[in-house]
Amino acid sequence: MVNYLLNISNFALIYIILATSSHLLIRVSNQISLGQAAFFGIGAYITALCTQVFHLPIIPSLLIVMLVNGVIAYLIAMPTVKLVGDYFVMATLAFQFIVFSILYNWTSVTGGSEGISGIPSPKLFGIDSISANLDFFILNLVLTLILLFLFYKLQYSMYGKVLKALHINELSLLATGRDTRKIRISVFVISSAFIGWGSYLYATYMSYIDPSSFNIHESIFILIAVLLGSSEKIRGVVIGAAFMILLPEILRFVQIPDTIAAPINQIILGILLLFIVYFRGNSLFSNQST
Amino acid sequence: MDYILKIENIVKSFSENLSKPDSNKAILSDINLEVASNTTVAIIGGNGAGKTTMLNIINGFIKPDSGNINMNNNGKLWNLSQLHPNQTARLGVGRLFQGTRIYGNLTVKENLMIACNEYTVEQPFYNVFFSKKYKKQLLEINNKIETLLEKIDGKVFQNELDKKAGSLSYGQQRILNLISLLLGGYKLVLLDEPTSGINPEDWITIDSIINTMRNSGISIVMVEHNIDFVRKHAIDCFYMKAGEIIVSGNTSDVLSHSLVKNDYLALC
Repeated sequence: MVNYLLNISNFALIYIILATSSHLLIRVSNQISLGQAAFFGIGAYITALCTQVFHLPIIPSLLIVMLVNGVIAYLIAMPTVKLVGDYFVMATLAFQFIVFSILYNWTSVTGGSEGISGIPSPKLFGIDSISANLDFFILNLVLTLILLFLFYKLQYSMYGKVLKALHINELSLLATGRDTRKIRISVFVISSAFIGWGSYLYATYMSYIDPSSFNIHESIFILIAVLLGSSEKIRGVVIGAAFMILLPEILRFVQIPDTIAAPINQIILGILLLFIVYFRGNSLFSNQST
Repeated sequence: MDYILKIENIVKSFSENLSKPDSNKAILSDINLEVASNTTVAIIGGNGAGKTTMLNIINGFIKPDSGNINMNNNGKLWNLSQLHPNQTARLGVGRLFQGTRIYGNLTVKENLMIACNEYTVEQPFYNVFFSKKYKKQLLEINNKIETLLEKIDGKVFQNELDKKAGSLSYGQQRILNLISLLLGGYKLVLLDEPTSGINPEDWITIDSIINTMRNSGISIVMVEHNIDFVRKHAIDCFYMKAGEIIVSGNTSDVLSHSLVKNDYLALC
């Protein structure tokens, strides 16, 4: 039972990291992205490379994953930040599909549909490996708290205020001397880089990754987790991500057979998305001031 | 005389029909205009005369087909004609747009804080890595805002600093935009109809803001339909019609010129 709870908590924390990183991009600066799972996936494969091939400990691995994600995000952002609203969504969606098919088809490097197995558990300082659920949970919790602290600081700094301003009125920011293109790129890069933390934890926790964990469904999953919170507060994202992980478990507890539980889960998520769009669509997807 | 802005032979035309590139319609034809430093000038004229286009070209939102825009910033000469709006703003050109351009989802105070244009504190993670510097700079920004609000007549926003700017009335939002121009460290501000939508009881505030601008050495170029306001504040005046400056000179001379009187003022 304890192991079961730890397992759920570990997943919840990983998704809190993914959602919080995406929150700054999607919610605060209002650039809806459907490519978040692509960065999640790239990070996971880089993690496998760092830990399995180069046997790097946790901190260098995290930094490398952040760097690679950040550089790819920068290269993607350069041409796409000009696109606003729907066009940006389409560009990130395209990126998502491209990354998925590379992971799926580049068999010699990514293992194709069979994925990569035997990814070692994290090495921290002298401790050989953190394998037991509890040890991993502690590491996971520490990283999540650091990340929440950093993103809280980001959102409530002048940088966060400028991002919120960008959401409403880009023209004014431009006319007051700010390079809004650079600001858009910076938030995309920061968001993608920190998704790498989630990738690292996911890959080392599962010890096995395959492309199906990083497809478009995953991106939509992250998007819903971000949008579930009723306000822009980080608290809302934490609850949203935790809820998304707990939902299937709750369904299991009410004794619904597995064959029905999975589709019911999907239906509930679909209805949630409809509710989000129906009740808060105006404030989410338009540039009108609220 | 020392100038801050000198516009030479600006030409701008827009294509009316994209499939026929020859069907260009001239919006501005051969505009020449000089603004002496530390002065206030007004551009008047009917709708469609090209006044706002003129401001957009100085600002960098629109690139002219030909011509030069020279700015003299403390003895340094800059050609603004090929710069982007964020670059001209950093050289000291501020802008008040038509309508309101506030950040409605931020509070009045946050709007003013952004208006201070302290770009370094806006770097991501600046408050994490340079937390002492960040706090000190925020304190300076707050002091700057407080000092300014004390100076403006009419006691605007004293009790509304924590209100969402989107909940202010139209006139109040315009005043917020105008006050923002005093915080950004500009040398030259372009005001597009500063008095539109302002209630009579707020006139004292607008006058006070314009006077504060002048006292702090900011040159003003305004597009304005309110002739009393032009008479009160503008030293020089330019009358535009169909993309050309027809009459220019001292404000009282321009306003009493027969062309301006018959063509424009008679209709006002």
